[in-house]
Amino acid sequence: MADAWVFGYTDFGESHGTLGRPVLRAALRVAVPGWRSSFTALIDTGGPLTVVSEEVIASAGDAAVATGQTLPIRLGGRAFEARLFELALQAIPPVGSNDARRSWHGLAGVLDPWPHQGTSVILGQIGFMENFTVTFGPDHFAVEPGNVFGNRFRPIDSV
Amino acid sequence: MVRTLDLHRWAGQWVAVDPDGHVHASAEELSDLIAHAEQLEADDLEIMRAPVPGEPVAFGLG
Repeated sequence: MADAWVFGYTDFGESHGTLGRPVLRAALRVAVPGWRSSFTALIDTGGPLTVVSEEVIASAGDAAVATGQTLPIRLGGRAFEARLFELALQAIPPVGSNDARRSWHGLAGVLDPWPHQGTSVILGQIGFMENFTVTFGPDHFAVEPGNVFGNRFRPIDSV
Repeated sequence: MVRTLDLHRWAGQWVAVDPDGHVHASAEELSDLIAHAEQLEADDLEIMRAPVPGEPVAFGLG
């Protein structure tokens, strides 16, 4: 992953009512180790951790280890007592890139029934954001290794 | 460039989409599609749900 992975936003064809423009989502592909097919995942910078559907966890096999803990989470207007797992996932580079998948693992919450009408994986802070630098632009977003941010920017109080 | 998908024929279903946006399989239940997609010859399939016309726009991930 020497270069930034640059993705265009995705227009899933959602209704946009009177907005007058498509609804654009920051989505990338993630896979459970050992699987060829992948899940579309949305990046949610405001989410404290990655959340997935029960079906994703069921497909993960040994890549998902239950912690025995739960966490109250609200999503889609509903409250859940999410079961927590240590989950290994792989980010898949953009189409046309020869880069290898990039693996990470971190805490993930399972919501059942899955409340989100769009994807079965939502990437949050724990796990994803702590392993990747994500830069959002008007038309594209870029995903880079987590240490890139520290090399590029310095908090003002450390100058 | 924005990736624009045309999934209206599969509204409300889970779909397995290739990098060109073509749907290779669909199912009402996500668990059925996960198992089926892995058996297909096509590589790089991506599983998502096709939106339903008229569904409210989710603010963020609300």
